[in-house]
Order: sequence, then C-alpha cells, then structure tokens
Amino acid sequence: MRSSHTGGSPRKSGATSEFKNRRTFLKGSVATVAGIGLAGCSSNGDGNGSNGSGSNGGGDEAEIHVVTGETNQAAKQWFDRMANQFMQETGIAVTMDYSSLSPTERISTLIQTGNTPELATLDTGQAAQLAFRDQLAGVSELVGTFEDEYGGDVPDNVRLQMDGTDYTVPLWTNPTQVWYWSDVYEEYGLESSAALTWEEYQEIAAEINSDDMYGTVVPSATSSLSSFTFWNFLTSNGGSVASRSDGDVQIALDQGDNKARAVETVEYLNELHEYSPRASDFEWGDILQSFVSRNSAHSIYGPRAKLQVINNTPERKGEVRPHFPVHNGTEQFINNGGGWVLLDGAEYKDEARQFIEFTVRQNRLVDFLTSVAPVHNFPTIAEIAEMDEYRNSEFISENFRERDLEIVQESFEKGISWGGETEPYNQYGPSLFTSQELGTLLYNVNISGKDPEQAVSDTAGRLRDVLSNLQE
Amino acid sequence: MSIARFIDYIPQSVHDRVESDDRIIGTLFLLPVVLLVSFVVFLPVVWAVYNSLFDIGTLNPERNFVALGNYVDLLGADPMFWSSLWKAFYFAVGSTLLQLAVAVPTAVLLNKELRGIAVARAIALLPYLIPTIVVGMMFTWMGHPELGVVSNGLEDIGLTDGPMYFFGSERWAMPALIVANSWKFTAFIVMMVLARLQSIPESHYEAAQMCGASAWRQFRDVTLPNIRNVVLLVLLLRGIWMFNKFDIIWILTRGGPANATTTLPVYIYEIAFTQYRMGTALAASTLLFLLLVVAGVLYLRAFDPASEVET
Repeated sequence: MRSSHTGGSPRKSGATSEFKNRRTFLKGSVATVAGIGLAGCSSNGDGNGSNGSGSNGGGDEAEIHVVTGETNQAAKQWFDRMANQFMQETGIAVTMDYSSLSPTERISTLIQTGNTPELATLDTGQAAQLAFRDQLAGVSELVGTFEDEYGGDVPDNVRLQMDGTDYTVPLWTNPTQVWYWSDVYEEYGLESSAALTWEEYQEIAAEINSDDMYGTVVPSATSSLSSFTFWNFLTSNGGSVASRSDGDVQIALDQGDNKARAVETVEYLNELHEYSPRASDFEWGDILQSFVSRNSAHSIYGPRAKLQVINNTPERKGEVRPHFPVHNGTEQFINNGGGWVLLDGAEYKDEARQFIEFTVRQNRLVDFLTSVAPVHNFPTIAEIAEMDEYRNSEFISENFRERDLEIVQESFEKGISWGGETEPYNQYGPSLFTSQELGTLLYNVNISGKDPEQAVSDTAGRLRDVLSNLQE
Repeated sequence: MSIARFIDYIPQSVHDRVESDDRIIGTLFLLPVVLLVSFVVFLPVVWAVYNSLFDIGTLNPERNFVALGNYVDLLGADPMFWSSLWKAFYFAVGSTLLQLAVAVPTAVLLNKELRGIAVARAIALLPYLIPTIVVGMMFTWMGHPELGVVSNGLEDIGLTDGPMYFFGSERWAMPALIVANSWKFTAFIVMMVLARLQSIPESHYEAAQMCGASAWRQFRDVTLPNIRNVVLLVLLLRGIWMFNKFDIIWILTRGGPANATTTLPVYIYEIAFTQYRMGTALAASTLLFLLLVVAGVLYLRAFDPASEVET
C-alpha cells in the first residue's frame, strides 16, 4: 500500500489533501466502471481493484519503489541484485521501475498520481529540478555514511547542496575529457600531453582535418551536448555563466571580464568549427557515432567514447586516449554526476534510507562502478578509485591504461559542477544548463553566422529569463 | 414449417415484449463500452480542461487556482505559442497534401488488374506497419549529412556540392520531416482510396469508354467524383492527426534546430517536461483541442464527407 500516507511538510498538507480527493475520485470512478461495466468479465468483484492499489486490510508491509533511467543490461542486473539481496536481508520489498524515458518524467507522473516513489537515481541536473520544488528529502547523513564506508570525502564538485543540506548521494561522476585517436596523431607525427593548450588543439585539428576525417567536432545545435561543450570551454577559459551578488545568483555571461571570456570562447569554437562537421543537430549519440566511425579525430565527452570503441571495434581500443584542452593556465572542465535521491513525499523514507545505505556498503558500489559504464561512471570518492577491487577489476585493467585513469581522475579533481561556479553552490546552475540556451548560442554563431558579441548578449538575456522563472 | 411462417404465428404482444427486451439487452451490452469510453476519453478531457485553470508544477502536486491566467499568458505573452501553432499548421497541411498527392495516383495504379498487383498492394501498404521509431531511425540514417544515402546520392549526381543537413538546417528540417512522416502515413490514404475505387462498378468506365472518353476524362468524370467524399474524409482525419503529431518530430529533430520544427504538440511537451509548467501545458492542450474541434465542425458543415457512408 502506498496511498494511505504521504509525508511532507505542513505547507504541503493542503495540496496533498486535495490531491487525495482527486485520487479518491479517480479510484471511485475506476471502481464504478469496473463494478458496473466489467461485472462478470474481469473484476474480482470486491471493488478493490488490483495491483495492490486497494487497501491491504490493515497490514503495512513496506515496499520501496525505485525509479531509474539506468536501463542497460549491466545496470539492470546490478539493481535487481541489490533489490533481491536487500529483500533477503531485511524482508523489505524493492520494486525497480526502469524508465526508458527521462526518469524525471516518470517521477512527475508518479507524483501527480499520488504514487511518489521512494527513491530514484538521477543526474545532478535532474535532481536539482526536484530539489527546487521541495520534492527531495535531505540525505546529508547518508553522504556521511558513504564517506565513512570508503574512508574519503565526497568533494563539493559532485554534491548537490542547498543551504548546507545534501540532496543527492553522489555515486558516480562523469568528468569531461577530449578523447582522440592516437594512431591518427602518430600518422601525422603529432605529440599529445594530458593538457593541450587551445592553440595546440586547434593546430592539431587543422592538421588532421581532411576529406577522410574531420579534425574535431564542435556540436552546434540547440542541444544539451552543445551547451555542455560551450560551458566546458568557457570554464577552461576561466569564465562563468553565473555569479553571486549580495548573495543572489545572477547571470554573469555578459558582465565585465567575463563577457570578454565568453566572446573569446565563442570565437574560438567558431574557428574550431571550421574543422568539424556542421553538427547542427548533434546530440550525445551523434558525437560518439562520429568518433567511433572515425569520421572525426576527437570527441569531447567522457570515457564513454572509449567504451563505445571497446564495444564496436575492440581491436582499436588501445588507440583511444584522453586529454583536455586548457587556456591561460586554467585546467578546469565540468563534472556532471549522479546518484541516489530520496523523494520527500514518499511513504517509506526510513526503509529507503536503509536501502541507500545497503547499496553503498561492502563494496557493492564498487561492483556498480566496475560493471555499469566503468570509468565513464567514475567514483566520486578518490579512495574508491585507488582500491584494488576497482583498479584491478577485469574490465578496467584489461581496457584502460594507468595513464588514462590518471587523466580521468585529474579532470575529475579539477572539475567543477554546474552549480560550482559560485560560493555557495548555485542551485540554479543545473537548470541553466538544461535550458540549452548555451547550445543555441553556438548554433547562432556557427550555423546562423551571428556576431559573437551580440549572440553572447542575447543568450545572457534569455538566461536571465530562465533564471527569473526559476526564482519566482 | 419455415422460421418466417413460425414467426407469423407469434402474437403481436409477444413481438413487442421481445423487441423491448432486445432494446434493454442491447443497451446493457453497450453500457460497459460507453462507460469505458467515457472513462478513458471523456474524463481525461474534462480533467485536463479543469486543471488548465490551475497553476500546477509538473514535479509538484500543489495547485493554485489562476482562472484563465494560463490562457492569458499563452495567448498574450508567449510568442512561442503562436510560432509553434503556425509550425503545426505548416506541418499538418504539408503532410496531408503530400500524402494525398502521392496516395491518390498510387491507389489508382494499384486498382488496375495487372500481374503481381496483389504483391504491389502489399508492398505499398507495408510502411504503415512499420513502427514510427523504426521509421525515425531509418530517416535519421538516410538523412545523415556525412553517411546518409540521400545526401551522398545527391552529391554523386551533382545536384549538391556538399553534405545536405536535412534535419540540422532551419530551412530543410520541416520539409524533411514532412517527407519522412508522409512516407509512413501515405499508405493509410492509399488503403482508403483503393477500397473506394474497388467499389466503383466497371460498367461506369465501360459507359464512359463507349462515349469516347479519354483516360483523363474517365478519371475526372468517373473516378474523382466517386472518391471525392473519401478524400474529404481522409483530409479531415489526416489533418487532425498530423496537427497532433508528436512522435516522429521528437524522434527526428526534437523541435530543432533553433525551434524550426517546434510544433504545438512539441511545445506543449516542452512546457510540461522542460519548463515543468503542467497547468500551462494543459491550457495549451485545451486550446489545441478547441481549435481542432472548431475546424472539424466547420469542415464537416462545409463538405459533409459523412454522405460517403450513405452513398
């Protein structure tokens, strides 16, 4: 039974009550139709419906409902294993809800129908959307448990904190690097270090660019990939999208020195676009496909580029290596990440906390990190990445060089999160990213030929509208 | 004794009772369906219209009554609403006309009794059976600027001098979407028109031939009047369905590039799940619904395609 109780603050109780009335109405309608219309056909005749939606007759067996967008086979196997082991150990049932759509869409449906799930795995941006709307419960003590378990700290650049409270238990992070085909570098006699300057990167792209292969890819679409690309390069140029003034978050893209950095970044990416496919409709899958099919020499993403090569052309896996371009000495990119969130309106929050704790204990998380997109889903605690169980796991030791792992770890340690531009954390950062306005900026300059300075000003204006909607 | 003779012997009062019982039984048989349809069709519409009067966050069950506030915002202060409405109109009209332009000649061809025509008919109807997601992936690959057969083919024959960005250019994205969408759904119109064509008596054509009518005159004076009503019906149905189309647009362009293919259904989705404003999304859905109802009623009054059923 999950409908008889909803938690939450007193402020929410009115809405919850109204909501319950809607549910009662719907349930009544269902019962009427079932009772009258389907009598003798499929109803069990007791008017209680099916699938556990009716009363359980007073018994109150906890059942944790978990929504996740991690739907690949390895992830499903891990979640199913966790659910079964947890059930055996505690007697508490866990229902896995694998959502092939965005998990926030699934969660919104469940919230609107009064079936708020207990748990979800979300990336930081998605979690921020829920945290904003007071739908998440604080999980700071669980972050502490997680840290104690592995003897290290969860750094700020993967946390989602508001007013000092954590709203995610960050299980993995996706630090950004640029991956390249090392055999192509060798063919052209090019050298690469872990950190290339912008100028070096551009020269390499120009050198490689030919009829057979693009020198690089500059995604220039109204897409999250393009927003991601711009924000990463802006960060590596020491610029920021937002800042704080008198404690309030404001858009900084077109302010002072920051505007010069933003314009310089756009101009650089515009020059780099000369060695890129047009990419005006590129999303994540497109950049991977372009890289794996050797249509382009570089891919800005994370280690997933390498994982795709391992899956598709394993004989070439040794030729895929990472680095990251830096500018004016700034070695900083963006970290995204994800982990557990606990829904505040759920019924079995205490049991859900137990489940989170269960999944991070006794190296169960290491099992996840070495089987579900390994290295792309990088550990959020440095000590995990140092563990023998992690480093020497079969997949990682067979496919990743020590140096590759060091570069990934380095980019993670130096990276900042969407909200990490400001101190304290900019809770609107993830939403500014998902608005895709920064991707539109690249589209406007690289595809529509708009003036970079004007395009930056226009984008800042639109981001202010987004921010103002969020702050209302 | 035959059944008819037997029935003649049954008294009138018994007849009346049986008829009355039949009506009751018929009503009882219909009732579950009526209730079910009411529940799954009527109730959600009423529910959506009612909730469009509230400010509702998609991720939050709290609701605040705002009366017509959501409508005022959309109609008065949201240029994207009008822009997406226009794009939905463009997409619907373009798709429907293209489908019709291809379907009618195809149906006429498939109506001929030629060798292997049964196989040709089956092939012509095949696209309708392919799931939209597969069609979307197919056109994504065919339309790929670097690797796609269409872009490379056009370049090979000298019609273009570089990659064509069908789904990545503001200019071409909508026409490309219309073509991809029509490829699948033209088969539906072919089916409808072909069914009507097969019901035209051969004697009509024989009479026309005896009067010396050319192939064009036979088409114009025999075929066209016979398929007129089915075409009008199909225009209405396809127009509504295309106006509401979401899946293939989302699969191929997600409304991009730069909102060039953000039709109203796509925009409603964005309001609900990107901007998290469920109340506003419901108001936009209600406006779309009302628009289609009004257009449908006017269309039915003007053309009366229902007479097809009576002819």
